[in-house]
Amino acid sequence: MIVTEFYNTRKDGVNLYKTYSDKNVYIHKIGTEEEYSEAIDIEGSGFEYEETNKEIVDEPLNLELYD
Amino acid sequence: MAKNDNIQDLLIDVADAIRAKKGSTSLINPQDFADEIKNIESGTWDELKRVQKKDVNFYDYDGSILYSYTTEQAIAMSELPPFVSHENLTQTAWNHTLTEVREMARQCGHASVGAIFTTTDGFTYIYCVLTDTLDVSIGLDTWGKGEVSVDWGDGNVEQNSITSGVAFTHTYAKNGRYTIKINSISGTAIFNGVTPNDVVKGVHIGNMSQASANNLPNALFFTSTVLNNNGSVNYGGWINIPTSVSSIRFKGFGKGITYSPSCTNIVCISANGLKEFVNNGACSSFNNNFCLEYIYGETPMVAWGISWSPTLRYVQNPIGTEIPDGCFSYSKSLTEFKSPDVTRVGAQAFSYSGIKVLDMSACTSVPTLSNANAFLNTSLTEIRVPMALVDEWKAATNWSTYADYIVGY
Repeated sequence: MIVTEFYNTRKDGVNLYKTYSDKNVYIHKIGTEEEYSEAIDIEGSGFEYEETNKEIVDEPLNLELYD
Repeated sequence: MAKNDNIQDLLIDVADAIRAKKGSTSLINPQDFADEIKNIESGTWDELKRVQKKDVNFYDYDGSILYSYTTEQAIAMSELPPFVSHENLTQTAWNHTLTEVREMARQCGHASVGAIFTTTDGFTYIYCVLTDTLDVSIGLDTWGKGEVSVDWGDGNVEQNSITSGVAFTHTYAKNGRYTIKINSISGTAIFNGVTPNDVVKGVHIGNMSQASANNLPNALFFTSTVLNNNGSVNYGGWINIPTSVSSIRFKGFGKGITYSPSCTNIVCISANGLKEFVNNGACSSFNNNFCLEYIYGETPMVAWGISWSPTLRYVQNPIGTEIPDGCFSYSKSLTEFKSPDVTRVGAQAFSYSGIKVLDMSACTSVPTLSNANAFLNTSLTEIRVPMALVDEWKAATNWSTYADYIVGY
């Protein structure tokens, strides 16, 4: 399911909203070829998203050190 | 230089004379000359004293300096110094262009430039200086049955058939400088290194099928010329570079990394002593380089490819149509980055890096920013974008989070 929630308010007063999938898949911005793991948009942007079947792979934040 | 049996006595006499003149026994000690005496006896004194190191140095195949310049002199250079040649070797190029040398001098205040040679007969040459040891062992392997001859450079030649890993060993009669010539008659031999490797001042791989990247002599990369177009480091996957290696330059791996199609599957170089990497060509990854400071030449950007390079501070020519996920993540010394024209910036592309100024002014459209965490935990202060795209950029998905930093450029 696509989830959209309030993210924060910029210094200029513009509200930002975050959209993501609760199934941990990339989301596709409808009408474009753009895909996001999370999408933060300004209030009233009008962008709509749908889930893809591409799972978001956890990023290796802590790589092992190599010999 | 020929060995001079009287030189030690001469130096001691000189030291005694200076001491007597000074009227002191503490100022001059004949032992102070021990290293010089050893170098003279081994025939390396002339080369050690040939050219004094300055800011910008041009190196020969053995690590000796051919030409040296101050930073100011290098910046003012109008042409590179003339080529040199040696027995069995023909210089084909310097491993930096004039533009690169001047740029390095300007940006870094120093530069190291190596001569690129090819062997004139296609054989493999190992250049040794023996001072403390007389025993040398050369590791060879083969694909299938091989036939190899080794000319030790002191009049002794041996030829053997090999079917698997073997060490050719030799004990020299005296210290000195030797050129060992290896001919892989069958063309199937694999160079596996020299023991002890600290005697090696350079290796040119000739007609062998490949060189083992895991056991290269420490001196192999003194000039980056040692694996030239005659050779091939035919390894995929990981290459572990000895920590003594501080620089890999143009054609440092010759066909191996830079040009050989057989090596495009190299995915990562793990080189904890590396301070610069030039013209990496097909090589795709530098992560976990804890000394790497500069990457010159075309540098493909791949996912997590240049991440965890905490000392990296300059990437001259990144190439690609996107800055992939995690590409520069955790590269904490990378404070500025100029991007080529890309269509996408991946998640965590610069997360936990030192990025402060990101120059995206080469972009012809607003690239997709996959996730705002591309700049997570950074001190980003400025994103330079084309003047005509400022408003569109500030309103774009995820870029909108960084609207305060987006400036026309």
